[in-house]
Amino acid sequence: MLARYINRLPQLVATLLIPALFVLASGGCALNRAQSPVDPSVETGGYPLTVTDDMGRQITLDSAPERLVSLAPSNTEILFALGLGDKVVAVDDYSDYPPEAANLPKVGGFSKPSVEKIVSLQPDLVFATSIHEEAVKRLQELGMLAVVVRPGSLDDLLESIKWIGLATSAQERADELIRQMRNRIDQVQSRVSRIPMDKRPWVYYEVYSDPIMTVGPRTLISQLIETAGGRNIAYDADADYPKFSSETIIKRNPEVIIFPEFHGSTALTVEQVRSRDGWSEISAVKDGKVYGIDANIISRPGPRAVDALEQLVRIIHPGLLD
Amino acid sequence: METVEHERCRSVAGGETRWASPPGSHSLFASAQRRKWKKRAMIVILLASLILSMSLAVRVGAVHVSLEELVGILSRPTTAAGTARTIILDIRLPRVLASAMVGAALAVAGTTFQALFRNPMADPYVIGASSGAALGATVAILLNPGFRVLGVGAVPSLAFVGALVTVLVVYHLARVGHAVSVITLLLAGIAVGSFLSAIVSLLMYFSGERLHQVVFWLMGGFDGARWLYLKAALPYFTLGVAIVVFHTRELNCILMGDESARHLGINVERARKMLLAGATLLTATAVSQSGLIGFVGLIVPHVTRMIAGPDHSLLIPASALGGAAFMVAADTLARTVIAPTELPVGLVTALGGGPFFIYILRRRFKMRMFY
Repeated sequence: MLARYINRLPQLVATLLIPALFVLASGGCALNRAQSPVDPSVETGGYPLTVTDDMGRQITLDSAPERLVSLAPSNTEILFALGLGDKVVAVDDYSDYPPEAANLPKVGGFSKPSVEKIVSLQPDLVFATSIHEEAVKRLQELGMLAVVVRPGSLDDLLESIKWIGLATSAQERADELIRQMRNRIDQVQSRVSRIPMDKRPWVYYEVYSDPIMTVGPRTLISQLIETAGGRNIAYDADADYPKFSSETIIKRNPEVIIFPEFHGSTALTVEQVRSRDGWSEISAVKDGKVYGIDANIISRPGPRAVDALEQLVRIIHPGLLD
Repeated sequence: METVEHERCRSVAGGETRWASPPGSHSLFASAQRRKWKKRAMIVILLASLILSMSLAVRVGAVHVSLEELVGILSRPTTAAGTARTIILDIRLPRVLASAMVGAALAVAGTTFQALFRNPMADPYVIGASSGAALGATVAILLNPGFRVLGVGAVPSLAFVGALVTVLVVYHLARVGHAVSVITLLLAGIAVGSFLSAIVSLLMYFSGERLHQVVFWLMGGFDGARWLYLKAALPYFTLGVAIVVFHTRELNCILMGDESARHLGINVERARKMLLAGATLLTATAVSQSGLIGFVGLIVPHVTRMIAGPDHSLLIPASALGGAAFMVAADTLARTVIAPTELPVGLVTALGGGPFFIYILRRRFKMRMFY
């Protein structure tokens, strides 16, 4: 029976793990959060301090945490943006931004971090994501403090940054960061709002090429596309990272095609898309509107998500931000 | 009377004499003596290798713990304090014990199923236990119910129940009157297994952000090992091993064919039912602890049989020890080779075990030893 799974392992990995990477990179968004992210009673910021994380769990800190561990690139980016870089004692294997984060000690790949390694570092607070449910449970049993950061949308992201700032005694930096991000989002929203719905291009975002997979409406990427004034052709998909057939994509005729670029290498080119059977008829291909976008900024729910938003606007509505 | 029967099962099922005994030692007494000593030596060697691999496994990890510190912690487990204590006693030790238990359980279950089905392709998952466990675990992961059984969370509990219920269903599907045909059992197992796997795949497709948890569960691993789970699993493990150990004679006889076994006075139906129950209990215990780990339950029985011969009174304990040692070693490699990043343990078992198995197989071919 196991052979069933082993034989299909490459397929499993392709169809499940790769989108799963996006799920975890984006922090996921399939579930509703259990509670409001910030407990109104703790706005004051004195210690001992109780914060509620994105899973609705309350964590009480006796003093400002001095030793932080991040288990995801998005968390690392938030912590560094809050000026907490010198308090981060270890990160996951994939944390590579800002560049100095890449040189920090590692606690393992972010799907299964080494609990043993984390414990040995004696962190005051561990920043996990929804993928780390097992590890978080384990760390709690061992008497460590861990919080889960899982923003499902841009607004959630700002809320998450707010409680992270509160927990780490970096409220001012957090407020400033949120203000800047809010301004840029508002800028985009006010300009996009002038574009009537039927003038907003249909966008197809190709998460993965073999098999072809796109983003469902609940994902952060899809929300970024909508905020940037595009319409996701997979607006009606049930799954977060649904497999899509070529014929559906040709039928829905996207006007813009966007795909993630990893480490500057383009996974897809206009030529490759054009050479797919029947795809040369798609408007985006005819008009040459096939673009790559840095996978790391669009799939990590961190401060750079706003960069991704602006890049999307430039792709979908060139000149709108000028 | 029984001893003679026992011997007959052994020598017919055997073939051990073909390669173990030098020509001339034909007397039943001499070969029985030799077997006894060989058996003892074999068990001692395997036990030693298990202890060695477990000691090594506790010694190494993503974090360096000095030998003095390790000895200090292990000699005074209640008074020791600090990070190293947590790492050794709360993280490494339960993990090492869990991998030993699961390795032993899978190897014994695999050996049993191979004999019961008289099929070298049989493994602990052959009649659907893995698919049932996968469905149970997937449902538990997706619904995330808060319940605990004996302190154990929903995922291991439902995986355990899923495996048992599936095999029970398969058994009843394959039963005609009081008789269960081995072939029907295998086919029913494959059919039910495929069906359940399809349901798991379907659930996975719509599982959203919990998808990765399901995928990792399917890949198997010991990073979730806890004392609590070990304690909960120990009675089932012990019961499963005991059932199989008390039926090694029946296993030897069944291997020769149901008819022959009946002539030797074995209640085949009853023995088969007990052995199925024991092996299934072991499989369910293993999958609930670690998820699906392939290869061990298929290959360890073969390798052990090649070395120890086909007499199950030796083969079963040897498989248990060998499986445990192999799994401990595999998991130690999995968590240390690219530490702190962990490899899936199933990857290590297949990567390490595959070539070794082929080597043994080739050597046996060259020496014209088939079985």
